[in-house]
Amino acid sequence: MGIRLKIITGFVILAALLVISGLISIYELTKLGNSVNRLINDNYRSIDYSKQMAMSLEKQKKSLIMAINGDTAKALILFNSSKVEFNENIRNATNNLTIPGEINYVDSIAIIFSIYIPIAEEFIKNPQHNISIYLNDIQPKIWAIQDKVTDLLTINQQSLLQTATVLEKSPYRTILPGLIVVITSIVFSIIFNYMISYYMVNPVIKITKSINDFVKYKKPFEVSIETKDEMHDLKESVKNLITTKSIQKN
Amino acid sequence: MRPHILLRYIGLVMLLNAAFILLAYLISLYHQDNGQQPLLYTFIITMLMGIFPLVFVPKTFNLSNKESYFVVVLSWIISCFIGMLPFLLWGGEFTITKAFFESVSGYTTTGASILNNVEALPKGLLFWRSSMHWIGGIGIVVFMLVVLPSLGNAQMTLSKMEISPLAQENFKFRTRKMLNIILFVYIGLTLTQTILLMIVGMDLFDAINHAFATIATGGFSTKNTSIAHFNSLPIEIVIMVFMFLSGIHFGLLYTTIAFKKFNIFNSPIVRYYFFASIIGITLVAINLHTSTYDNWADCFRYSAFQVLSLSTTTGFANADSSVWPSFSVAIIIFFTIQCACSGSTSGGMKLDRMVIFFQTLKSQILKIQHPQAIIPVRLGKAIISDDIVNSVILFIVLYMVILLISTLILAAMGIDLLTGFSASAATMGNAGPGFGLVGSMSNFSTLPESALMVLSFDMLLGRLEIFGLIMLFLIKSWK
Repeated sequence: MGIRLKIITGFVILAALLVISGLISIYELTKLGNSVNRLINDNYRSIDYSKQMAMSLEKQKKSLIMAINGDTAKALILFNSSKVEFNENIRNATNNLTIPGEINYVDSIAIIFSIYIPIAEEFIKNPQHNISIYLNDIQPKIWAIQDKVTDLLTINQQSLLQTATVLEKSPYRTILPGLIVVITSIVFSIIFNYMISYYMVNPVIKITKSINDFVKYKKPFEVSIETKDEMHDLKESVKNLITTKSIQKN
Repeated sequence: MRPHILLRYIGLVMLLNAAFILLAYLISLYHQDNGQQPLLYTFIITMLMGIFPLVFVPKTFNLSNKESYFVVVLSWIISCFIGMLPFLLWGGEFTITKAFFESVSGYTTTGASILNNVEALPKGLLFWRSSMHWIGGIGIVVFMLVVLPSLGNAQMTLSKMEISPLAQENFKFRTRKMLNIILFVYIGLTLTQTILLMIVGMDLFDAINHAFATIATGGFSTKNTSIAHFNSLPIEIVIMVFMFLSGIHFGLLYTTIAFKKFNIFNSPIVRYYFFASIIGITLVAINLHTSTYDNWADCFRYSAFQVLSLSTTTGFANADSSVWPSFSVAIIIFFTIQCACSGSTSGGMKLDRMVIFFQTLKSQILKIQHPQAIIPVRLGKAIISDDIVNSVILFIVLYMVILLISTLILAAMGIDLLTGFSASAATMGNAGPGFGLVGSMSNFSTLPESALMVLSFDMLLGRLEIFGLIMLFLIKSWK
């Protein structure tokens, strides 16, 4: 194999190692990016929907108290707007399921809410505002909805924590493959440098020294080249030249 | 020392590894598991690094003894580093130290694992674990010599360095013939065991992996509870037979098969191996009957499997021997230190040295009784030279000293004595499981990472028969 091909092979291998390193880095960073994306877009959204449900529920509780105080018209407006808000958040949460089993929590919230709404509406519209209905029928349902919303919030927070833990280890795992290839590339570069030095630079130095020795001290031109490449051809050419010159001189 | 020549031979070894990594990758690809990427990356890196020296360094057949030593030792160490890459890139339970430990354990055919859940590994990586056993079983460099037919004189010098000196004594063939015999017996045993395991109910994948681990006397299983997972007597019998055969000198197995002469028992080493195993199994079975199992059949089933598994340095398990009584534990530890015949795939001290040691002891006692008599050390009809006797005694002493130092280091790390000593003995002897925290049904994951590094070094020392690795650390020998 010729010197040119040998050097090209070395550089091709080095380039291949760098390409692999790059590909691994791109792949791992994309994976890391996707995890971050999931963390922000999915879990965080679910948590936000849960919080908004809790806030809507607080508004409904306020509207019920306003109704008890006799401010029925305002209470009804507040109740209806918060009902729309709550339903919208249930719908958003249903469309943003990220954890196995999350659907069960959302469904149970929707079911209890659908039972609670007619009773609460009836309570606000009824001018008598029977307090025992509020205490026995409405409040337990509000608490049940609050519990389920809290559960939904908790599982999303736990999932967030899990994702964060995975992300904590991710930089190590992301760096490691690239690092391995980089270390390999460095080792390879050292070996490549050694090979170039041993098989290309050293023979040139040896040939030069031997030519100088011949010219200065008339020492015979004797250089040993291990490879059968251009260096060997060069040595043979110099040897032939010296022999021819010597014959001509004699 | 000519580093470029070393690089050429190490390059060949890397290409051999790359071929097996490619095979593991294809298995991963077939099963569509998540081991594909780590195996592919490792294959590309190993192949490129292996090819490069071949491009530059011309063929050289003359290697000095020193160069051959370095080729052998460096090939083992570099292979261990390559072997850890798929695990490290895959992730899971593997840290850098743990991946290195698993890789060293694979190549040195120790079979000690840090994995709590082996079954979580993708099939490609499971195959790679078993392949490391199979490559390391007959020696990485011997494998390369067998695969590459024309390496001239280098073949002789390299095989001289790789094969245990005691094993070479028993091979009466030329180098090429000796290597062919090793390959013939190795592949023959592996194929036969794979077929037999499939007949008794294992699927192809498990059968190949367990055959690789048995014939190489490795011990990596594809199941968390090793052979106990199958709870099948026929499977255990097949594995026991092949563990025993893998502990016998391959040259003897070859002459028995090739010349159809049942002359295995002509060898005093094999006779000792056979009767020591029978006595060990019986003693452990009796001890188990008094304490652990009521049924004699169970006692013999479990004792036979565990004693053969550890005496051949395989390391498979069909029961949790760490809960067995102290007497059984002591006997099994003795077998873990003694190991099986040289010229086989088993690691550790080798039984031949024990026999020579006992013969030397006998000869010394006779000399005391008859001071004027010349009493040579004999092994069968052959007289053992003083040089061999001296080297055997030195090896045994050195082996025990290293075992002691390793135990002390582990004790200094806070590891209890039983765990520390048995882990050191099991890793030095390339046996695998020990007792205490590292029992046959547990693993090495509970040990600190610094302890895993010490044990990795023990495994390499045991596999390279101490002197090879020590030489690498003597800077004078580099010149």
